Amino acid sequence: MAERDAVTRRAAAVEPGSATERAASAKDVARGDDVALVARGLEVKREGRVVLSNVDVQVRRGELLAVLGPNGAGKSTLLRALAGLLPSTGVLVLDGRALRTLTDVERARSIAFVPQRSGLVSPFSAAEVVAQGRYARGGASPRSAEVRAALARVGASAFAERAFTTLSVGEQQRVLLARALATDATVLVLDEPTAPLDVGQALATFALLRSLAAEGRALVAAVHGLDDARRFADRVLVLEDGRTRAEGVPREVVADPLLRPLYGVSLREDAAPRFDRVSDDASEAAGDVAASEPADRVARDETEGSA
Amino acid sequence: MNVATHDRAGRSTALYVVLFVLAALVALSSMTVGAGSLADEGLRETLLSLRGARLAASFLAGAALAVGGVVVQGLLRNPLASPSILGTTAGAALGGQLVLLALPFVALPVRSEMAVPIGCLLGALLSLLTLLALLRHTNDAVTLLLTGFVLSSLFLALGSFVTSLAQNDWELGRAVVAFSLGGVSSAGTDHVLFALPLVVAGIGAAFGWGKALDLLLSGEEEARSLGVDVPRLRWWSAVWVATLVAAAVSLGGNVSFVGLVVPHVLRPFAGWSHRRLVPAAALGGGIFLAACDVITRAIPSHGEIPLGVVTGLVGAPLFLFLLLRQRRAELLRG
Repeated sequence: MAERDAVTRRAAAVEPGSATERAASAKDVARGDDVALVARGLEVKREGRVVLSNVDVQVRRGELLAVLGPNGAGKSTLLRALAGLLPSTGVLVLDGRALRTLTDVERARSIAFVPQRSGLVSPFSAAEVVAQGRYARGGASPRSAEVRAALARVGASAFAERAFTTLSVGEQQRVLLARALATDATVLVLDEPTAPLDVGQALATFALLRSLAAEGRALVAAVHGLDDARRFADRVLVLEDGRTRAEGVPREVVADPLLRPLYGVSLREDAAPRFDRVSDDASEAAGDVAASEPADRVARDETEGSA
Repeated sequence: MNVATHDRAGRSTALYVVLFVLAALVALSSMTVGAGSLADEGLRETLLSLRGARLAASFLAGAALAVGGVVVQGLLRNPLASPSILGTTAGAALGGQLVLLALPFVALPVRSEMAVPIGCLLGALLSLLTLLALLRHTNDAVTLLLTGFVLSSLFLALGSFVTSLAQNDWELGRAVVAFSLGGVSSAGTDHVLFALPLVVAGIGAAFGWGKALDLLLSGEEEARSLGVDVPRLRWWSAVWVATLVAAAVSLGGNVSFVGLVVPHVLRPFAGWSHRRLVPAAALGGGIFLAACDVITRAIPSHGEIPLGVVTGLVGAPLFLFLLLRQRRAELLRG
């Protein structure tokens, strides 16, 4: 228990949670050009119950922030609040502007949300679904260059004309990601983007997310797998019961003392066997994906991948 | 990709060719079928003018109800929704009946031909907003249909009460009963000219909101995340559906099934996109109701069969067939 408290204290030290700071104006918190999304003292209530309390988030361009936490910790709620889709209180700043003052169209141009599953019930083609991502920018034809590029980016060109409702869950997930890319938003918020995917698809998706970050986008993703968070995220935020449990770089946060009591798992730091993608054939953006990963990851992946 | 595109464009062209041919046939039969003979030179002009107004009235009412159906189906994300099933038509009818009842006692600032459609509009709007408020947090089909059924029953019961109140006065009683039974036989050029801009504006608005309604098919949250102002969309859709239904009810009374059947029949050809479905539904709805009106005149009987009876007799079995086919397809898909 003492060990756990020590970790919590360390985590608290990195999170700027003082009352003074929370009261900072939108302008203050957005200082610095590379900060895309800032939340301070974020709180969400549902039916009178506080489900998210005093959470601080800061995402820079070029960065992938993984949100971890056991089921029911409030990951989805946090993502929806960050994307402006849930009523919340506290400071919420997107690209230097108070997010809540933006119109739906203004918000949609800057921040895209990728749900775990789409609620779409009608048989629109995949290309039509991706074209919906252009709504806030005046619309686009399913055959437009933007839509085709987004579909190609996620490797979904092959089923562009198939009805969305007839696609596999993994294919649907790629189409939803393409729809988010078609918005041209700087900030991408993804709710467990790899949950319905098999291991190869999941690795391809993470590679794609890394390449998107490398292009200067800011990404926040709820992540289920602790290994994935450790491998692919730049920073990690751990939620427990709607509160920040820890925040920091993956090596410090995704560590045994903190996560053992949360998940009831232990972490072995030895060189356990690990799977890597053999090639990027699942993604048509193979070149982009490898080239944009951080140097150490690329080196590691390529050595192991070609072995 | 090109094959699919050509296929869709080809299907769309074929659909409109078929619709225009059907429209011409229905227009022709509407002008020629009826009790009087066009061979009689003395009657010809009168008959053509009466039948022309009647054709226009049934076509407009059908177009309005079908497009209203498309919009509520998008709004509620449920292809089983339609203005008559949701109680919107009954609400509009009650509004019209209340205005007729009030007319002898209240000096209204508008002419009576206009007062009735305004009553219909308020009734339809009140009914639809009540429904949307009750269904705020669900799109479950059973809840939707039951809520619509309850609202519809409530408005029909109130309508019957109004009709019985009106029987104290012979003239008023006749007017309310004639309005309640519906039918386009009494529609004159005045009615048509008053309803025309409402129907055209309603169809235009449905087309205009089409892209936002397409996004709403993925659910409120996704539509919002993509930039749709959902509360505004819901409000304006309700206003325009109410306008369309009010225009239809003031032209043809309480006619059911048009808003349900026409979009169902057209979707396999026109697709789900509202921008493609709305114009097709306007044409298809117009053709369907004008054809039903021809049938009311063609079936031999004492007087004419009410229009709502024909739409019900054609629409209900067709809807059941479509429902069973959809259900079977769902079961086959597993």
